[in-house]
Amino acid sequence: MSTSPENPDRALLAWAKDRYPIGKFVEWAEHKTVPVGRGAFWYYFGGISLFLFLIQVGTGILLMFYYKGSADTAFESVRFISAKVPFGWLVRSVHAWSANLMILSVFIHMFSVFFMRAYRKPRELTWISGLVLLALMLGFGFSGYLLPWNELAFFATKVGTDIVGVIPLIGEPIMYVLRGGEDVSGSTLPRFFALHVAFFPALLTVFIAAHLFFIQVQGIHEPDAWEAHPEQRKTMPFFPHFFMRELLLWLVTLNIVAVLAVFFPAELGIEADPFASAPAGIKPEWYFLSTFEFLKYMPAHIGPLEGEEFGLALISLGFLLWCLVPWIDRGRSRRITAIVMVTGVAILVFLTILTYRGFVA
Amino acid sequence: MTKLIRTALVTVSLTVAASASADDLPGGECLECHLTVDDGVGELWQDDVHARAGIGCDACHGGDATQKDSDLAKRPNTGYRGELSALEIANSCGGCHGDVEYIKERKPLLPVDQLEKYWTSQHGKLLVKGDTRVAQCASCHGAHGVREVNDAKSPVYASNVPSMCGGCHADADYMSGFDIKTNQYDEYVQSVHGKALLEKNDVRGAPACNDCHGNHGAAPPSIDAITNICGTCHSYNAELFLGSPLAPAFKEKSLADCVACHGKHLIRHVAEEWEGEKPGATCRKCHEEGEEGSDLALYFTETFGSVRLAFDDIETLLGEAEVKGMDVTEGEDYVEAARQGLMQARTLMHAFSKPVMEEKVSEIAANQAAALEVGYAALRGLEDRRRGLAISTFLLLLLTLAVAIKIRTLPPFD
Amino acid sequence: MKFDRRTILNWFLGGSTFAWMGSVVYPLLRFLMPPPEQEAAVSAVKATSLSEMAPNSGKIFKFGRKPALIVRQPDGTFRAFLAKCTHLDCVVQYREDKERIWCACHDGFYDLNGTNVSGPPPRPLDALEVHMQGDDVYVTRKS
Repeated sequence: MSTSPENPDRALLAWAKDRYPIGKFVEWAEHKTVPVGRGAFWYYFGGISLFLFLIQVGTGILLMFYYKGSADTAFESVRFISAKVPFGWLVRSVHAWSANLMILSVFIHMFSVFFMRAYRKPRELTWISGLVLLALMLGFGFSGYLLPWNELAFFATKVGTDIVGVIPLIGEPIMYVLRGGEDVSGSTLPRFFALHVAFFPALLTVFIAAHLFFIQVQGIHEPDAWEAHPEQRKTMPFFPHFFMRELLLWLVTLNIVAVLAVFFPAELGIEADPFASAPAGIKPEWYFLSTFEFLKYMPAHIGPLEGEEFGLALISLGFLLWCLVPWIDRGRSRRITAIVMVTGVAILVFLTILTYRGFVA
Repeated sequence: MTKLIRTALVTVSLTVAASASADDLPGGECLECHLTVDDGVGELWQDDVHARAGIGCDACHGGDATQKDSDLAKRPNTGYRGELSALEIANSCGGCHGDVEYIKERKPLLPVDQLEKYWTSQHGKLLVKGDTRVAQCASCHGAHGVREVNDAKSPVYASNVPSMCGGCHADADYMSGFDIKTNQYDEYVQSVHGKALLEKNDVRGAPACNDCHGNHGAAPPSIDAITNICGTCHSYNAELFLGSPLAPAFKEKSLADCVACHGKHLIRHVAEEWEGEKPGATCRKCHEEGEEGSDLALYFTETFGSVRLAFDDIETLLGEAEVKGMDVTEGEDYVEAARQGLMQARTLMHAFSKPVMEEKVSEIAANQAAALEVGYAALRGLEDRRRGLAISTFLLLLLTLAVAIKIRTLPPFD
Repeated sequence: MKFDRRTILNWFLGGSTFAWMGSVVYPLLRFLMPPPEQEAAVSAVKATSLSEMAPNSGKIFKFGRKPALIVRQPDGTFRAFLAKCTHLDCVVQYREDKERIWCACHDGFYDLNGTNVSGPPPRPLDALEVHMQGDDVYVTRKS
């Protein structure tokens, strides 16, 4: 790797610069900074979510080498992967654990962004695209859960798509299209597979690109306190300081996933039988538990609406308000900001309690 | 729309027809009057097969069915017989049911030998001698509410037969004077046959009293007949037994083949039956300790015992592996094959031949060994996984250390 | 090469990266190599071949995880069924002498359509489809 005083770049970089107009980009990268301070720890969760997603893509592609996506063969192919393919158990369990950790990480990321009020101008679209990403992640989770075609997944999908059908007017047609028919059946599986490995990834690519682009162009949000106290301002270069720390965290995350995969491997369960009756105590994955529990508390009817319809309407309204937070709290009124922050805490506590209740039910 | 109308029309007319026939039951004035009297006959008659066939009260009882007045209906010249005696019942039922030409015109597949068989039975023989306590047609089939045999409410429906026969045969007071035991029903209910019929509802497969004793010619099978009777269903066991050295020996000693070892009514699962007994005790009824027969008995007991213990070991091992997250379905397949083998071995025992049994046992042992191997491989796999994780974690820690040190050597932020 | 701290650190970093990457890449590569045992065929199984079975004979084979029976009838054509008796789950067999399928446990009989014709079995055997491919006889689930 020869360098000289005239050409301080490394050989590889020099080679690239000779051929592509990346000079400006390299300079920008060298000067990119990340805020340093008390809340800096939370900045890593965006990257961790991305990393876990990359693990999902990698292990997902590997699984596709052996998974057979039709109702006759799905379960057996997953058993084959878990039992006979070398390290198949590892790839499968990593995929399952990484999915859960990814969604957890995304929630942490979202709430940390919220409480740091990074949604404010000029980052409204970053916030919106992030919420689209959250919805896509949940879609990934829901569609992927069915793919092993075991009893639990089958009935959880039935319950989940039942809830979709509750949406007034459009709910039933959507449910019909999702299920590929009246009921969850052998026709549902190929659709969920297509969603999981093609449709959602395509959408996700677009929205991740947008999300990252917005962040790179605007830079990472700086703590509010720095506006009043500019002397507190402290940053670190993205390359190599932040990058190396991020890398370290990624490595640790990977190992945590590996430990979980070895000591708590993904279950196979019993093969789904569309004609068998539902076992007791069906519930969805943990990230849907709060919605599931919430709907249970609805009375049978509220006014002209069915209880579940009302519950869904409430949840949708809540989500809409959450999306519109950048326009509700513009930083101009301290009182509104305080209300919004307290509401955020309440929502977090509410979701946690409901999820816990869903677990122990 | 036409399909809907058609269906509606059919449903309505059937309902009308059904209700019409209920009112049009044969019996004339006899029935009209007896419906008001509190003797239950009228109600029973609603469900009777003879009523549906258009047979009226006078067919069996005589009398004038057109007379409203009870005295007029029962005048001597009407042929009125009143309540039939036990012997009269047998002959009355048999009068039609033994008439080939008559039955052929009405229900061609119905047998016509019931009465003929009945006279050969213990019930029939004693009835002829004048004992009216014994069963005749009405005792089992009823008199006025006779249902088809395959009607689940009929007393002669397969799963109702044991309690029906037991109604007399289990009643010690009723049976006093007859020289037979009254514990058959109690024993049967505890047996594998009783449980299969009464608890698992296997009406096609499990025998009730009549399947071994006969329907109308009911009599305990003679000693010579036992193998044939049990062999109706257990044909392979019977075939093996008859080809074994025990068959001629049993015949010589007038031992009742299957019954000699398995009992008559209290036939239980072999493992339950001979559990707790000294090994080979049943066989030792004839074979002295040290004889070839006794040695064979001990061989069987030990072999089956160890096979069963092996199943327990396998279940524990595979269960442990499964709980820890390993897949053991292949092991379960081997266990299933071994269980099939055990079922076959229990049948093959009736050949009373060591070489025959050894062949089957080695097959079972091979399957069990394979199942165990699956379990051990699973546990070894667990160890391998943890070792692999330890290695990669160690390498990761090294790398983490390297990166951490590198971070410390980086120039300060500004 | 200078053995200063920086160089040693870089070598340490590079070496441990390489070693750790090995522990990631090795399982990946092993995963991609197909294992020798193929998956238990659940949709189509090669049961036998024309040369293996004479007319009026039967053979037990594995269909997925379940035992199955293939019978070559006296006229040379094949019939296949799942081999679990519908009475109490014993494995049935073919009886050449009776040209019927028999269950040794309680003397149940099925004809070559799988219909339960005698004894305790309450239902017919589950039939499977037979497809010929040259000399080979394949069995699939009923479509």
